[in-house]
Amino acid sequence: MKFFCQQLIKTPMLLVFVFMLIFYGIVAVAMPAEINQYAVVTAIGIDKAEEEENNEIYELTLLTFVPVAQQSFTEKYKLVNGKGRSVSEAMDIASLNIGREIGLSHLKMIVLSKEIVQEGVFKFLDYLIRDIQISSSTKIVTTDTLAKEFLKTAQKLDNESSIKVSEHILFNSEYIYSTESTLETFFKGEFGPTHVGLMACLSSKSSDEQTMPTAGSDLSNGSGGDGQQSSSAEEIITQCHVYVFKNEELVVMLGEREMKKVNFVLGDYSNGSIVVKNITDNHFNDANLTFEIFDNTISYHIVYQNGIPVVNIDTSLTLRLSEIEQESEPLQENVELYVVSQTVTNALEKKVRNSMADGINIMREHQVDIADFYTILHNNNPKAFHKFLDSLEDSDDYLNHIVFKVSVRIYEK
Amino acid sequence: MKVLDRSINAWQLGILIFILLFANKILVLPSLLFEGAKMESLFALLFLCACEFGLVVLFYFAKKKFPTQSFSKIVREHLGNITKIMFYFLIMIFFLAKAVLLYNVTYIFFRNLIYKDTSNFLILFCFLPIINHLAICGLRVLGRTTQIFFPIIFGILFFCIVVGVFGINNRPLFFSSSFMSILETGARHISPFGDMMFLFLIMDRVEIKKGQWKIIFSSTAISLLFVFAINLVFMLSYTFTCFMHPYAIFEIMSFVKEYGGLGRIDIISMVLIILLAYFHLTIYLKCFMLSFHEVFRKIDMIYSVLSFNFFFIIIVVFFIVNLESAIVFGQEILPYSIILPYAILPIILLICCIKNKNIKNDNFRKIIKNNKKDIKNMQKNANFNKKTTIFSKQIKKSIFLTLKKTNKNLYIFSKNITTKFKAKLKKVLIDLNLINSKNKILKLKKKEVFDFEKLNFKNYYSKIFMQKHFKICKRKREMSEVTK
Repeated sequence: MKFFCQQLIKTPMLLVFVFMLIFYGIVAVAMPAEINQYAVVTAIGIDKAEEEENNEIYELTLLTFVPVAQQSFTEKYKLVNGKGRSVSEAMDIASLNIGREIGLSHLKMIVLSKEIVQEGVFKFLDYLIRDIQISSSTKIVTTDTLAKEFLKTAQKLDNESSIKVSEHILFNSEYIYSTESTLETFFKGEFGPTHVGLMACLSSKSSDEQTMPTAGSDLSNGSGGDGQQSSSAEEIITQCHVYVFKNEELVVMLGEREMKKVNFVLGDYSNGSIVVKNITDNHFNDANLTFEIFDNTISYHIVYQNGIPVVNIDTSLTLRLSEIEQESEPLQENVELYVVSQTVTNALEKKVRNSMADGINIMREHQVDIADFYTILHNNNPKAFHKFLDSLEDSDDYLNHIVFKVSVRIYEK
Repeated sequence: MKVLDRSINAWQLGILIFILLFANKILVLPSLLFEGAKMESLFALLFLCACEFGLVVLFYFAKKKFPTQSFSKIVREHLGNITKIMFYFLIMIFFLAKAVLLYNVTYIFFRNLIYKDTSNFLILFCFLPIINHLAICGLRVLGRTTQIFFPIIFGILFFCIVVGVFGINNRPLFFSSSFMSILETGARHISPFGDMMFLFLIMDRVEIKKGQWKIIFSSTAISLLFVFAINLVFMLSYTFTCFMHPYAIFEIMSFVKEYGGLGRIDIISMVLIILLAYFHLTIYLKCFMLSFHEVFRKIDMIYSVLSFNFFFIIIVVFFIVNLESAIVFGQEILPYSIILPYAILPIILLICCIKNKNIKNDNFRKIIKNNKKDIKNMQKNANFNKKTTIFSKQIKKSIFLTLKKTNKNLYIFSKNITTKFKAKLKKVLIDLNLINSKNKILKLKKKEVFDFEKLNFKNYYSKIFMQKHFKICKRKREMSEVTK
């Protein structure tokens, strides 16, 4: 002991270490558990409430995770409300209502009501940009109903099944019918040179209204946690539109089919299908063929002709025949060894080319450069591109003056 | 507690340079650079990195010109004592300010992301004792500690960059900033640079053998390449939303974590930030100590540590208390101090090279310092006066050169001289090209008469010098008789 004390005095760093050990040890023991200190918020819904004394009032709905000690693992979620003149104030009120500090580190989704979206999204999202705890991969969606109502459905789903509503967006974004809708992607678009941001719109509907189900609810307790839709489903979440914003304002709402056309130009997808109708060749007789997309590559080549940019979009698609619909008897051929005929390839190429042309027309019509041609052209030849922009009466309308040429190549998997 | 300062070798110096070059450059800087000049800010960064490399090149020439001298001595001899004190006083403030900026950014990073309720004092309590201890232990201990941690730091950095590359999924807009905005951004964010001035402070404490300069240059180049890569990966990952992500090295890992679903992979970058912060602060403190010692020569070096702690705590607790004030401090005030490494220092070196005074070799002082214990014993046992030891400041180079020329032995007055010490001394003298391997270092016993005939000096001046300085009270008469 004497030796230890002598060593301790001789080595001041050891003293500091011992002091830190005692100090931190006591502090750690005395501190309350973080879970009792913070309300773990997984989703935020922002709605507009009725005005009070000529002040706009916002209603914040927080979907909070409540840990409950049980033998089996069950996630419990609770909805908390807060109203205020700003998001920040509403957050404080919600914090008062729940009796805990709001912890946004685990925030997965932000839901904006349609009313809020039409007003301009930035004044609501500013708080969320500034909060360092919020992850940039947080999904941001709009809903055609109230955000509060949407979160109620989300709460049910989160409570009763393994499906998380926030995962819908991530999953859907891989498909050609949808887009990635996170804080990061939205702001990248909005703060980029085109000022165009995309946001997915989700809708909560009763199962009888359902058009394109993406998830089921009311799963049998405990046993059916695999995401299968049961026959007694009450409410489901569906994706209805993709909202396109330009300079903070909602410009256009794109449906699944329109989004598919735009996505062909973007090349930002990894799943999806293409249907070609009325194919007649050696194998088929007036058949509708559905092809599954396996892979896609897209490249843009730019040349200037008389000062006008000509964008050559070359896309290559690797497809696999996944479904045949024809009136006559079923095709009896080895499905793996089936070779796509030239007629089918031509039909596919025509179909994709037309879709791409439609996609470009959508962008042209609404003057929304979703594919970011501005950056492509600028990086290719800044001087020529800006000369071209200067030559236009309305430089924002550059898409209508660019010549697009599309070439499609189809490969079979 | 005494401040120990032994010399470091080229490898240790290379590692110190490698680590220090990341200071203030991989957390907040990339985001600020992008805010200023978008993707073109990389040109500004490239230029600033080249300036930093230029300082290392300058150090190379200075070391070649004045291989054994300390920078303070060079300045004093050429420009006078007052200039030296003023210059070192500015360096003192420079490194203190840099430490404040670095600490603030690191502290706020951890407070925002992990330790939300942590007070400044608690974090200071974690940092200050360790950096104080490491700085007091001396350069060699610092060098060896960094040697231990170097593989971890290098590995994590490399991992962060490689992982970050997978997160690049953007189409950045190039050539959108003007040349003026690039210049402006470079000037505005110059404060994280100029750290390589520390090389001049430890100039006489570095042993670089022939052919070892490539270690220094390659470690500098690799480090700057890493800094550039981190900035590039961050900008390409976030592009237009860089302003939303203030902590670059953390964010590039975070991006992959969030989109790649790789758990808490970002914690790895936090480990790196902690390790680097400790070493950066220690080096800054060491530089403060060395410059403090040059300004206040009569005050013990330990007071420099206390002064650093005092001023550091005052500034951190009362003046620069949040990230905003730290950034304002880094952007508005600190850039002015950068004239110190990039203007004043080269001018001073230029003047010194032009004047080209022959400075007395003060390596003997270093020998005494490094072997203080042995010499103290020698003096104690031999009962010699301080001035009469062979290691005294006045000893002339000519004695050794004569010894070298005549292949004679060097006699040291001591009773308890160790073999280890003799070997060390011999190595130092050979390195200094004062003796060769044929010259032996022998022990001269107390009662022996110093035999000048053995030395057979041809140089008359040296003989007189030996007579003058090798006076031993008891044997004064005997020695003079011999010389007669």
